[in-house]
Amino acid sequence: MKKLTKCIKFNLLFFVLFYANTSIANILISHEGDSIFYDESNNHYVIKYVGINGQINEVIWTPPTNITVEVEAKYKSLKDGRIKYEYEIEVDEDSKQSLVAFQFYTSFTDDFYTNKPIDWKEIIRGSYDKTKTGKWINWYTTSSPVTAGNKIEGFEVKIMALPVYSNIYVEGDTEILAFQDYGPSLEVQEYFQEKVVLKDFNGKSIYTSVPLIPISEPFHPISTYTSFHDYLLKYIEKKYVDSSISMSLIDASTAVLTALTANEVNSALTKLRAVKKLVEGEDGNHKNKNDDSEKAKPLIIKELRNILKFNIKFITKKLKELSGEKY
Amino acid sequence: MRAITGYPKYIASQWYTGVNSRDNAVREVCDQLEVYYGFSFRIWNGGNSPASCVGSNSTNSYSIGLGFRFRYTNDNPNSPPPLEVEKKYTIKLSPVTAQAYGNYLTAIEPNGITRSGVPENLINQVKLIAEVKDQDGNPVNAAIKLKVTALEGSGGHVQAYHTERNPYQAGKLKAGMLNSDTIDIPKSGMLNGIVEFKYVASAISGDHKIEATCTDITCNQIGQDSVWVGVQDLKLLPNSTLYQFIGDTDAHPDNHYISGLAAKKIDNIAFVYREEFPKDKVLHINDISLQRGGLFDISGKWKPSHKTHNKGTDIDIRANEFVGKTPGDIPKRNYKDFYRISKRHGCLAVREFADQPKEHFHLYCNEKYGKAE
Repeated sequence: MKKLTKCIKFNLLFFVLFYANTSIANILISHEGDSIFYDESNNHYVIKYVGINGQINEVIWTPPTNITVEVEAKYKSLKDGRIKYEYEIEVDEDSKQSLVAFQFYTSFTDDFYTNKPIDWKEIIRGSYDKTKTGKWINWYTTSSPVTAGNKIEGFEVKIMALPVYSNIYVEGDTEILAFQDYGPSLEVQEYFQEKVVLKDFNGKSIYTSVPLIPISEPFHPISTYTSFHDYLLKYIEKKYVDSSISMSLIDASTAVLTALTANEVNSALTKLRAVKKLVEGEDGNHKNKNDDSEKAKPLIIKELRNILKFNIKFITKKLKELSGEKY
Repeated sequence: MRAITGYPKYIASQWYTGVNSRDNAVREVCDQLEVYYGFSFRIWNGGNSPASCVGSNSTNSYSIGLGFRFRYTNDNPNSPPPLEVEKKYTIKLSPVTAQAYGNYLTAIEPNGITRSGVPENLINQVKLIAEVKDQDGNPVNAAIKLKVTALEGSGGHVQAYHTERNPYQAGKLKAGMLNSDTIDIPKSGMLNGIVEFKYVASAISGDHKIEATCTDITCNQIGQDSVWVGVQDLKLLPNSTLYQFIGDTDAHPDNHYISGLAAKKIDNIAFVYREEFPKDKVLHINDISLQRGGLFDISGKWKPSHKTHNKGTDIDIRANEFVGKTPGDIPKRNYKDFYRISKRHGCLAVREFADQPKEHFHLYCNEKYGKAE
């Protein structure tokens, strides 16, 4: 009997400790009776607060990131010098939310064309961040959310900008946050906005091809290549490029930039070939080096490799057109 | 120090360095003894020594060195009776490091304003000094009283439609352990005629006057005496065909003061909403902020009814058609569009008093949402 009592006591203690620990871990903030609790299993937030009449109110809010999608981006050069981008989004069968919005930030361009699926609306505007000069393209629907297992196409941009590997944002359908009065205390509201809402304000971030390297007309190789080079450095910093080729890639790309700055177009073209080889994995030092031991671990993420190849091809073509001309 | 009320025998600098010549400059009488402390030498020339100078004018006396002079006056029964000379004292407030602001000591923000990365105590309080001097500009230690009061009617609150304020609602003065709307600083709390204290603003914006008086001598307050409490650069949202204003009251006739960024955002939101729903009514804009931000007490009771609306970045938009049938609201069928249009223009729209007659959208349009892109 004693043993049984001891066992029950021990289990009770364990349960209390475990429960308390779990609760503490999920309470994000508690202030004068108001609190926010994160429900990990449902990925939603429970806000409890004392209302103006003293009653306890409870509001559940789900962020717009409970959505799982696959994005396919296609891009090609048009005869008029612009690049055409097309996006197709497929909502996974297991996705908890339907797709209601899709947006991304592009470099500024005067010559701009967009298209969108039926029942989708569009807002294009500049950034409120004064340091940014580009535009936000926002597409959304309130009448035709794309439900789980379905896909949507027809998002299109024609723009004077080369692709980079960057973020687009998708948003799942979620209820507007609603309070029965003015809501919780200022401290709790500020925490909620700062740490929860703002974190996913634009939706779920997905990396794909985004038009962000502006192409000037007439073509200005230094500014375009500088932008390309800067993105290359970012990819290396983010480790999208294998460390075994990153230094060679930086050196080769820097050499192109140096040649362009010195107004040596032919030299730049030659050096750009070295960059191309590294990107395509055809240089003697890296090609098939690990093929025997390791199978198919790409030195550059596939989508990024395609983007780099496209950019190099485009810049090479433009440089060839300029060859012999002063710029 | 008898010099304050004594016979006007001699006035000269109390501190001296180097050589101080008083040739023919100062009248002295012999009933005084001058004592020098520190490194000093005195050279008496002629008959003007303390021992032999009765009634004579001083001539040719020199002092050399570095030090501080005390003067002892020995009342001579033969001397004329002392004349009562009333000294005049002043007390002046000034900020320690903060910039002066127009005709104000300085400008600070009300309590409750938060700015990303800026500690609150850097924006809602200011260090000041009170300085007492005599008529010659010499510092004087004195016991003083400091009291802060709000100028009624300032900051966008019309007093006639407000209840009486709690004194603390003008803010607090802090010096050492003292912390109240009125503080008494003893003479011993002053050093060289100066005492440092803090003014901590309350949540209410407006002009806050700090009255400074001496309690052991008579002194007049000179210079600036008020602190400008509020959020700077708020402007009235201009009239537009894209929206209408509602919500002004006798207590707060101007309820549409707004920051520059939020004004740009609401203008864009109203424009897109109008384009999207040309047949529906334009947005009806209720409370934003008062003239200088700070506490927006809807009822005029100096209590927070609006929890935010204190810095020109929160905007209420009427949205109660479904329940209240009040004209000029956002129809419920447009809620999701309005939410999304707001979001895409850097404002978070939250429904308050959902499904009740007072339902409205509360737009949070602060700078964070602009930078969240």
